[in-house]
Amino acid sequence: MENAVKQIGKDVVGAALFGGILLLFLFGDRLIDPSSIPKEVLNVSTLFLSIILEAIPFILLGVFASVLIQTFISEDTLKRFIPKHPILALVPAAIVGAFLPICECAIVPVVRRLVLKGMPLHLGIVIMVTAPILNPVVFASTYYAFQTNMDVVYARMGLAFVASIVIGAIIYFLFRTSLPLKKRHHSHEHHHHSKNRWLETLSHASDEFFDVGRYLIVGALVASVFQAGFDRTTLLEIGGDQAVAPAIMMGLAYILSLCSEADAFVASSFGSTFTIGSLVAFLVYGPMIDLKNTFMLFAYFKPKFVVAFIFVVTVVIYGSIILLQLLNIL
Amino acid sequence: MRSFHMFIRGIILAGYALLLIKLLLTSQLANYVSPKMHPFIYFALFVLLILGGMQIWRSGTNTSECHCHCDGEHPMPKTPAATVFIYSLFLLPLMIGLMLSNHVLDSSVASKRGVQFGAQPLAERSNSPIQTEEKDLLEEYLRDPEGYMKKVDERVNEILQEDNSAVQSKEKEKEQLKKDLIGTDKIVVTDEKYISTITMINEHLEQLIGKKVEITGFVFREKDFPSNQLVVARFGVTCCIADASVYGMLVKGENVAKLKDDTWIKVTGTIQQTTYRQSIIPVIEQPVIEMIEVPDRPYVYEEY
Repeated sequence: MENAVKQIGKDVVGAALFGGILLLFLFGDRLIDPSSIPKEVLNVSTLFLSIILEAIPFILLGVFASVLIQTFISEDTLKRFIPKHPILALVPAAIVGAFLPICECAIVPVVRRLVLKGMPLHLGIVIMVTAPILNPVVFASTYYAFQTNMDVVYARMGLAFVASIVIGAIIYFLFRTSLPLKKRHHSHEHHHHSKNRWLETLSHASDEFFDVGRYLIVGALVASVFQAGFDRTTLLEIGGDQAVAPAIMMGLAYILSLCSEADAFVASSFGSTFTIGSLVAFLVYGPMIDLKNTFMLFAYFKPKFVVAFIFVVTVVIYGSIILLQLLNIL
Repeated sequence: MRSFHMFIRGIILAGYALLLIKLLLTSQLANYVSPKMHPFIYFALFVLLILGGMQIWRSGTNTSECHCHCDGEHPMPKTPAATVFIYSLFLLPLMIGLMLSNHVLDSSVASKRGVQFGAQPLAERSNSPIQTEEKDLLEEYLRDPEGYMKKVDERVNEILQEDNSAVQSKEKEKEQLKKDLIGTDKIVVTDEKYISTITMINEHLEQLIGKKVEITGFVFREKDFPSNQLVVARFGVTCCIADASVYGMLVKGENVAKLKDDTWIKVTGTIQQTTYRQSIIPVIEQPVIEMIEVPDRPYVYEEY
């Protein structure tokens, strides 16, 4: 009897939710007078929603790739393809990352799944930081944004490749074979009844979408507040300094959380005042780690690992940019 | 308990599908995501409908035996407060999208990003790139002639690959646009070629001085503008409006002082040049201003 009452209560909650959404679908834009809301709030919410809408297809792609790996690639198969030597395996991992046409939202669930399946953590990280930069779409957009200066394009691609290997090596020495994933995982394979297998796959996909989605939403919200409120024009005066400019541009790449397909155009808008080195820093650092991705990493990895990862990426990218500048390459 | 979560999640997924449908039907999707990315949105809509439908349907059937070992990996929120909080997070974008989709980014955002009068030239480099490169190459050749030749071959192949048809047709388009601009008496800056036209006017300013120009956009002023100056500007979007940059042309004239920021205008005038923050940029003089409604497509999009 009590159960029945509970069940009815839950049905009512669900129905009310659906009714509410339907109501907003039909009349939502007539319920509120937008002029009664402060402009700042409208700007933030518009930017917020655009980040979410842009990310949803790619999160879904990543989630599906992840559940397909889960269902169709066994741990043994994966192990056979990974070279035994942890350091020698770094280069093939970077090449795999270069061939995966996946951007930074989609790669996080995929890498987490590969690591769960037994791929060494540091190799997963290499794939995670190379895939969003070394891919044809990003090459094309960087090329169009920097047609007058191909150095930026080559430096972006080259540095991403080399830095990813260095980052992977450092992660290996810091964490070795430990698994800083947040949730306990099962070493056994799932044995579902065959008729349920596809349904289970879809169900997993949905669950994973909600797992990572909540972090995406928080990340997008914080990023959109910075997007709307942060005055980029104040940066223009410090763009010429060899040491400060790369740091500034890395910070900017972090808080803006742009897609790697689009960031080249934003970088080129700083082109007239900022050093080439700082633009490359922006273009390499942003896709590897940004605010939005930090939150997504928190969904899967232990906080200690996320902090260490951000630190390593920051030091390696800043260090290489300074080095390249000293060598007069940038 | 699990079936309740499935039910709610199914409804939220269906809600996102409804949001995408509404934005598509009202053609407001382009206010968030560039048309180039719309195929991905269609994909998302399809997936959301399937996932949402499946979750709602399965929440009604008895599913306890199927969830033998999956729960450990995807733990459900434990307390009612956590449940409410997490699902509210997912409802937030939904409510914004269903209620406030009319809003277009305004000049307060533009002023924080800074306007571009065409795609920017890059800053001068401190060293001379060609010389160092040549020196390096020579050293490399002396060290390892065979390896060097192999590298050169690779590099040539690379260049040949880059030099593909897409890039060539883009170059042709640019040449054509340049010819068109120089050939015509009145340049009309269209939405489709907004960024490239503005860039072109900036690059070939000397050849274009004295020509008539027509351009639409919203009114925007930098902090250091005198009262007779404004920028007629648009947000140029690559993927989503979070990556938008501001593109525009400077307008000078006594009749612009009374125009409020964010007013949409069509400006017709003559191209002249002026100096702004130590660089020479185009300016529209003797402007004729016409107030217009906010266009259906307030944003312009990168053309690559």
